[in-house]
Amino acid sequence: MYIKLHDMKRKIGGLQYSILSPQDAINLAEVKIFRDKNYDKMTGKNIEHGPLDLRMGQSLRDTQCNSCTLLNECPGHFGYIPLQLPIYHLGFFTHVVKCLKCLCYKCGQIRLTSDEINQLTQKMIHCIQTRSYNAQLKVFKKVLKKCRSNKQCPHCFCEQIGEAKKLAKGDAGKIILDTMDINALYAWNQFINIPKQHQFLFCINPFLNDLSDLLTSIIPAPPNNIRPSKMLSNTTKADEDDLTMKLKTILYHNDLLQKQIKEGKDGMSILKTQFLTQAHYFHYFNSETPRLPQFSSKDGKVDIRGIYQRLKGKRGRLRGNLSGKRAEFTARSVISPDPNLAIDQVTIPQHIACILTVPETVTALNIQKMRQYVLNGPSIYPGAKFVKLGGVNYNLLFARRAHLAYKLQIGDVVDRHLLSEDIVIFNRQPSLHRISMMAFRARVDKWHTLRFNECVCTPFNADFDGDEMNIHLPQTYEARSEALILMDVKKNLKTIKSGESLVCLLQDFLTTAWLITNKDVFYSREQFMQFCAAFSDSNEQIDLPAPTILKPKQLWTGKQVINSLLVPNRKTRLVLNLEVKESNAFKGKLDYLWMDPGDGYVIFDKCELVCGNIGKKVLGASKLGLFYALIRDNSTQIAASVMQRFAKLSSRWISHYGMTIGIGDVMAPKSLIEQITQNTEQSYLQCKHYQRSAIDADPGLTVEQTLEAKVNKTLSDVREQVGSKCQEQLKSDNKVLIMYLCGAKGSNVNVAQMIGCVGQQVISGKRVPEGFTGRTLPHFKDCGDRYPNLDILHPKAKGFVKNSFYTGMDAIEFYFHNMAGREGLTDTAVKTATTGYMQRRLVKMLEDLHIAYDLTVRSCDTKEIVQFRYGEDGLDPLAVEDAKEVIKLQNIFTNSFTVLRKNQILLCKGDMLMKLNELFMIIEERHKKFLENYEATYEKEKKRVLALFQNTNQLVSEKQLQWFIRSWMERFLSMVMAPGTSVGPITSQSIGEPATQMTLKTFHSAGVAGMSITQGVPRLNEIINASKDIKTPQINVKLISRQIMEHAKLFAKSRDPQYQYAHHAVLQSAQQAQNVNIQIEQTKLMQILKRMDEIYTADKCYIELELDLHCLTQLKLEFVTTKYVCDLILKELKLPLDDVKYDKKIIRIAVRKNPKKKQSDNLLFLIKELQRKLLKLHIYGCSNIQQTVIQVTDKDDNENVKGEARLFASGIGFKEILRLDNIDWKRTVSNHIMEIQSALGIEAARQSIVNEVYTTMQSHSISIDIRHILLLAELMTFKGRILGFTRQGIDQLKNSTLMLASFEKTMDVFFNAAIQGKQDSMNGASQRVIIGQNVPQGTGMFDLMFPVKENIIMESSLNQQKFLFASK
Amino acid sequence: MVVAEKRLIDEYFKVEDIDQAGQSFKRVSRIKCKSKSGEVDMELDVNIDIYPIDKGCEYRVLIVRSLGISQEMDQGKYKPEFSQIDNELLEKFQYAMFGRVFKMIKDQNKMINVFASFGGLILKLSGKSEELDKFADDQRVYLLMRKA
Repeated sequence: MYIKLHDMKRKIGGLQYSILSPQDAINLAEVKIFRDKNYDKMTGKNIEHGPLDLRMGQSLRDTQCNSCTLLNECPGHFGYIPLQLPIYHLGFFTHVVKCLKCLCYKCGQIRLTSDEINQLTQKMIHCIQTRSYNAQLKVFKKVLKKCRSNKQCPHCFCEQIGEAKKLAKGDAGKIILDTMDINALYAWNQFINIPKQHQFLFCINPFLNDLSDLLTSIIPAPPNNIRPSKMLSNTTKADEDDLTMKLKTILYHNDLLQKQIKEGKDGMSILKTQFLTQAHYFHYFNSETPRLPQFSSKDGKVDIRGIYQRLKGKRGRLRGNLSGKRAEFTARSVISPDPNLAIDQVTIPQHIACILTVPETVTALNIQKMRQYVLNGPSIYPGAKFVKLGGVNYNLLFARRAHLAYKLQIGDVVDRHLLSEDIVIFNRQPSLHRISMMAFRARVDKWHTLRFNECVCTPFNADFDGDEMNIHLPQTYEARSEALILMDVKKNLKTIKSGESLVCLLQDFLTTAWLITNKDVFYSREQFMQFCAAFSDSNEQIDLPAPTILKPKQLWTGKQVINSLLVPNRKTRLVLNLEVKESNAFKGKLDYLWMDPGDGYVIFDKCELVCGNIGKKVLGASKLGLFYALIRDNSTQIAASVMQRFAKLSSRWISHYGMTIGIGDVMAPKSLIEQITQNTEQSYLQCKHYQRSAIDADPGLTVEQTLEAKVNKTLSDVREQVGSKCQEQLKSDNKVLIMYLCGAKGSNVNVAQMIGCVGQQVISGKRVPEGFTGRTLPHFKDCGDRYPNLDILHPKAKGFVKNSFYTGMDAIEFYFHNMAGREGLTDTAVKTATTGYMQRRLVKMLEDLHIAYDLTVRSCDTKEIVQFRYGEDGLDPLAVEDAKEVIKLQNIFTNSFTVLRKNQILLCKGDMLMKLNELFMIIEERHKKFLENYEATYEKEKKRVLALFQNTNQLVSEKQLQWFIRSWMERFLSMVMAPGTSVGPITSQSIGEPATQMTLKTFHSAGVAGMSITQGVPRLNEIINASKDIKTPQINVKLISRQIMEHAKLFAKSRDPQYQYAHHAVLQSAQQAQNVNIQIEQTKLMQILKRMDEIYTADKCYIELELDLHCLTQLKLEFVTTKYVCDLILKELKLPLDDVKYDKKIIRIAVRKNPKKKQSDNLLFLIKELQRKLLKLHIYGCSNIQQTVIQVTDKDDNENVKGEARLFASGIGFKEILRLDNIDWKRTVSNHIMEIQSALGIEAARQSIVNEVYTTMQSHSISIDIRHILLLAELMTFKGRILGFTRQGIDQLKNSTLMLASFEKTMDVFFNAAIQGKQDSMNGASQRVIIGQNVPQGTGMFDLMFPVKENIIMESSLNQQKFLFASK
Repeated sequence: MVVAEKRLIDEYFKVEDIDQAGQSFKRVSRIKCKSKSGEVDMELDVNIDIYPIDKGCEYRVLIVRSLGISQEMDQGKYKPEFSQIDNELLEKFQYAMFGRVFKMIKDQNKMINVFASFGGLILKLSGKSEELDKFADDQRVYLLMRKA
């Protein structure tokens, strides 16, 4: 027999929720509490049977628990307070109301026939057995509905007089039925009479609870130590906890009640006291309960911290103490940069190193060192703080260190100081993705900051303007090795969100690399060797290359420095072949890209930088870059060391160069100033021209909007133009320009703003709005000719800033600039909050998705399959090289020429293909089992390989072929996602983290003028929430079919009539668009009216309408006649038939007062009201479409053909539009996901979620691997309906109470769990974290199995420990 | 003297243009030349700071695989002794560079384009294949120049 290692330990296997019944409460308790005094006035001791009875555990520090012998470890014990009369429980109150609704107020039986009872009970029992709690709630709803529909009790046949309700106004905690006040005692009597077998109907589990348990008759008094007393300083009085005080009040009222009952007081005052007790009990639970009676004692004081308040919220028990726990062995300090460190090193100040300790077991090898550490003690570094000798702990601050050091033996444990080369975990908040926490090698040094290589800033999103970061020191060997394997910086150079190498060179390093690889950089031998020494720390053997220029004098070029840096000596093994177009590459056409006159095309050929000025494209975080190639073709180790060499070289080289910026760098030369002024003047003139001339409105826009758009475009372009002027004119040694060109910092716009012109200020996507009537500031007026600068039409009056930051803005410009600046600030502030919450929701919902051993994606908790194969191909987003090409075959092919020795015998093409097939056979045989799981992906890749070799002109040798196939297969094998991978959290981080970067709204109105589309964070929020009500719904109607379009694309090349026909169809599409548009665009009555008159006669009044027949013809609505309109009026406005009369042209509607209604309305008002309604009457078209725009494409690309007309309709009504003729319904799409779901089904909805998320991310130029988005969409749709990432969605998706409680609405979740008697299997991530167990994902998924004798299991199962709070 | 087979090309070129696309670099210019025979076109980046080029002048350009100094040098390695090279061939020329052929591209009309990089300074030779048939990809070469 086998058993799992972890099952041997005692652990929580699951949770069963139930309501604490009175008997349970008594069993649980150690003591009965009935006195309302805390201390004895005479002795000052805790009074027995009072709220602070010592049998409930330790109260003040010097007291001792009277129930157990434990001193400080006493967990505390419960007491119980017996109530004189039952009261309602705050959490179960609404449920009690619902239950009462089901009962007959007279006979107290369920208002259902016995058939109904049986049927519904069966359903309920089924739900309980299958643990489908959501279904149970639905059945309960049915019960409620049926009960309420039975107006007569089926048992006693009495008519029901209404139903039990919460008292809507007045005090909380009262239930009324008609005029009756339903007391808790009444409810209790009714509940107690319901037979057990019928109690299933009330959504409770009668096996666990009785219905009467919903009411409280015994209050459990919590242990003393969760409501500790605090001694006030300088007094002997103790300050009591809120809960104690509240219990005391409850006890007082209960006591009063007892007296009143004994004395036989009148019912009213007894009930009043009972109600007060209940109100205090409510307050005890939730001090924020609305509509509680005012408690005079608490007036003016901050409200108490009730049980609700203790549990809920970010700092509450669930989220603050259980899901996230305080940690020891941590440190925090300000960070600073150190380019001399390796990529995976962090410098830790000695001060911190003396505080953090690691337990190290003494062995024969380290005993000498350990002795020294013990001798040094806690204050001398390197020393130790504690030592465990033969099972006894000694604190080295007080112990006799020399003695202990002498006695130290193998097997003892020394808590030594942190030493260099220890593994630490380094973290910066907000920890939005997994690379916010990485394992570093410690390096203990002086000073007080934590230092690391700047290359690692990007994953942490750190800078050095005062940022602080945290250190965690793993304590066990398991933790350390896991950190080293999974979290090491070198293993996390690439980010899983897109596979790019996030750890890369930045800022100064880029500047250095760019300047040093400039074509006219030449060094003498001395200089060259100096720089080689700089990057190698003079520690490496460097083979000096031959100089580039031998004569007239020996000179080396800067590019050769980089070559030496990549390959310092002949022992270096490196494969590197790379071609990248830098950002400054020649814009025109070149025969050969590398002949670029500006040296903007970079080639690394056989590890040598052959040409090109390397900048951000090569050295930055890109999949095309150098570091990506190094990681892929060599190893992360090599990439990391190259990065480090670059950093070292840079710090020395750039201080030698003197990269410093001064005022001279932003002073524009005279010629440039002239050009800039000329440029702005021209734009001004252009604007003036637009404003003076008559222009046609663009489709979908009014004339004003068109004008504004044109002016705005002209002015916005000024800055770009100035930027490129600066780029041309500034000297090549201008520091600002250098920084921009190499990609270290700044953009075209930044350069332009500093040197040339700050440009147009934009506020929420528009030019500065008019705050005054018709102008932005009072300085402007309509004075065109006299003061052109103060004219309201002048660009300046709408926020155009002509000055640069160097010349300085004038007051008006500054004001406008400030307006735009403030928008940016508020925007970021708001976005951080929304994205933070979005991230939390994403993580909560996806947290326990992982890849199971059968390679499906499942949740830990319910084990439901979410996706059959991760990302549909099972590949790792981290390893995938390109969205289209999973493995870049060409890259392997090129490398194969450089790796192997030259002069091999080349195969002829036929042999090559034959050999290739042989190799495939061998591989397929070898990896048979593996390939079974990835057949489709493998076949696809295999086909690509075959195609490559079939199409190539280059011949290869046999060895080369073997090498190729081996490398290819290696890559393929390392590319698959391993079982256990927590793909859920990975996905949520990969989408949540970039969302936080999506600051600043971008206003690409997605191609169509006049129709903006929500973008960025708000749009992402809409998609993820599965909102039904999205801000800018839009339907993109395509008019010609894809097939015709494909044909049309070829028409130019072919005289084939088919193509000609297709082309014709495309050209016709504009007309077609008009026709379709009529059916879509809504026509209102006001659009087709010639006139609308009120006619008053002596006794009657009419509204007379005349239709504009000309207009109708124009709109092609000839079928709209007066009859048609009248029918609509009758239908929509529900007027009496004889009120509406019509002839061929005119409709006459009589207006009368409605005799039935007691209207005091003036007839005039009636007329006006009717007129308003009439004008808005919907005549034809889709009723929910606000606007339509027809656009004719003027470019040819993948999606479009020139001349194709498309129709954009903003609004909803996807189904209606799909029904129309003459549209290509295969390509017509809506951006409203819920609409797509209802029109096309769940699969279409899934695809549209993928598309929408992808385009939203793309518009912010954020690249995310499609696999993440696929999983996200899959999770939203796999239940067959769309679940948003909201509370409602999570409720539907997850079963676990603890998980839901740690999300939102903590208390409601618990109360519902108690009512329904839910079970929690404790398998999900949240639950496991809360109870401190391994999460069954990743390294926690597998377990060690080992054989045991059966009697051991018997013993262990017998040896169950009694739980502390278990019922007696 | 260098063995004839190690000579890859030995021609007289006339400088037709300097920095045709505008001067991008202070110290380096790209010269465009045509061989005297008219068979070979050459583009070459030259460090004009130490070796100024005159437009319209004729230059003799010799490209060889070895100078015969040392085999190590021919493979791109450097030894301190090389700083005082006393070489017959070098003596005869005014300007010398060392680099590597990184691309050879044949186009349709039997023209060969040879590209070599001298530490980032690019040489492009294009001509009939018979003129440039001694060149091979990934070959280390010396370029020697002298005013005719």
